[in-house]
Amino acid sequence: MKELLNKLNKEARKVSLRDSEKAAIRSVLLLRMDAPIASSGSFKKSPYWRVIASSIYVSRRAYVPVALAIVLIFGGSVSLVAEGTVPGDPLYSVKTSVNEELKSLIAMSPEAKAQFKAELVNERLVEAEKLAVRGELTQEKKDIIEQNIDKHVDEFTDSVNQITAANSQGALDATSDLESTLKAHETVLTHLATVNPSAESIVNTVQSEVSRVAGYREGVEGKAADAVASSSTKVANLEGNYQVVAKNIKDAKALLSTLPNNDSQKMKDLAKKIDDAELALLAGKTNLSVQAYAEALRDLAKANRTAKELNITFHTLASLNLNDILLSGPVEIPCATDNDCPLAYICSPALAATSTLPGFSLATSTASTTLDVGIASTTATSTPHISVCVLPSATSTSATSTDKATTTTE
Amino acid sequence: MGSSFDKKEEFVKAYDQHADAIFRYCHFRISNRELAKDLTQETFTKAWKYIADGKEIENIKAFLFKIAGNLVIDEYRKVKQSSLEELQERDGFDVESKDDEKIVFSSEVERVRLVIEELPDKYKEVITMRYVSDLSPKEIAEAIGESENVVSVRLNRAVKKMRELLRS
Repeated sequence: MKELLNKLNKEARKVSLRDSEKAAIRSVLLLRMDAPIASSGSFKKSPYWRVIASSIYVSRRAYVPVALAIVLIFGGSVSLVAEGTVPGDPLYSVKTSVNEELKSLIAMSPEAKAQFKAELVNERLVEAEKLAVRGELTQEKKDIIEQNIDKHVDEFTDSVNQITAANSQGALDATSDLESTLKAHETVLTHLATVNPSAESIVNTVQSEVSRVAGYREGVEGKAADAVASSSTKVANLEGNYQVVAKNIKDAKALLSTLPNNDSQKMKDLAKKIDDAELALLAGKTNLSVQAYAEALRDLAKANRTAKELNITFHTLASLNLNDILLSGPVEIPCATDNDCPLAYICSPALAATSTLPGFSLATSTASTTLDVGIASTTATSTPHISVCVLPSATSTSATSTDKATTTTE
Repeated sequence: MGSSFDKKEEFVKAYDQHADAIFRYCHFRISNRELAKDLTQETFTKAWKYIADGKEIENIKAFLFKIAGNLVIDEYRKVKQSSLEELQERDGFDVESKDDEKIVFSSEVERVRLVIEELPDKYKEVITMRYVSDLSPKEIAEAIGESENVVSVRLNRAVKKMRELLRS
């Protein structure tokens, strides 16, 4: 027995905080310790520091944001630079091991933790999309991202488990939001996979996470539906939710209307989702009017999920400058400078003009990489200056693509 | 501890020295890495608050384990209050850390760990402090507010109980 306990002791020693975790907790403690001590009259600080330090002990929730702000403002320039990094970048480990660890310390309540973990899932998916757009989504980077997504979803459900009993509606909202986020990125990555097949395996991962979270959400939704019928406060909240959902749908419609008018299947699919959201909203309203509150809760939650999914999809496509990916057929991307092109594309002047039409003319490539190439003339002369959006790797073969191009007009 | 500067320096030293042991203790007792991390931070925060209030601590290690032990008990109470088990049964989710974050022991030690899980709380507490976190019986006595003699008896009974459970 003693031998077994000694073995336990030996193996238990391997369990420890990671260096980054230990450092992050240490930083928070140091900041807390710099607040005035009751018995420390001799330890003098500047009046400015006293103002900051005295605010640190306001409450457990209040002081950590102050601490983080201090770290970020005075010592965190590297941390800030690291924020936009993706796997493979030199500062990526600073982003995940320092910045995100510090932020996770701020998230004290299970609700805050769930929200933060959902944000991390979103961040990992954005990283995958950025890499796919750049053509840098290697297997190694995909593995890192996929493992982290899985881990964050685990942590998310751990936190939601802690709030469901006391706040089933909050648990449902949090889970629905994560489901919307995953579905939105599934759409974006599916479109990206048509340009860059390396994104396909990430799409599969996201699909399996969508199924997992949707299954989990159904369980939480059941609890929220049971709870709503027995509480007048919850019914009143449900009626308030109706207005919020209606606004989210309105926002999604407004964003859809800013996209190029096009009858591609992708655009039709998005428009159909708006119809689905409106129908669910209507069903929710009807069920509210007949006091079928459990059904109303499910309908409104569905409408909200769809509306949020669309809003996230549109925002993500816009932030990656990828709206054109929703157009039908080959995508032509006119450009004057690199800024007119999607992330990581360059505006190449190397292609020969095939159009003599005045104004803004486009040529469609018939090459297999048509989505990578677009041609535009930027002048109204008969010998326009041609500018093309291409991936840097495609420039060597672009002349061949142009030779096969046919002329179209806008 | 002397001046506030000394207090801070000593406390940071204590953090560097005992943070892993506290984390290990919490992780072993609640099987959830994220929560164990939170409890570790909370343990040191509470300890510092105590020091900052001008109170004296004789043995910082034992004091830290006393706080950690209380926080673990609070967590047990919280879990009992919320109907987590019901949710887990229904949805198939476990509050424990997932596979990549679980403590991975050899099969032999894993058996011991499972047996410890079966022990009554008061035995689990002393066995974990003694064999996972390396506290001496004297330190355990200070941490749980009992005499050294009581701790020794408790440890012996816990080991005896473990032996029985392993045989069965």
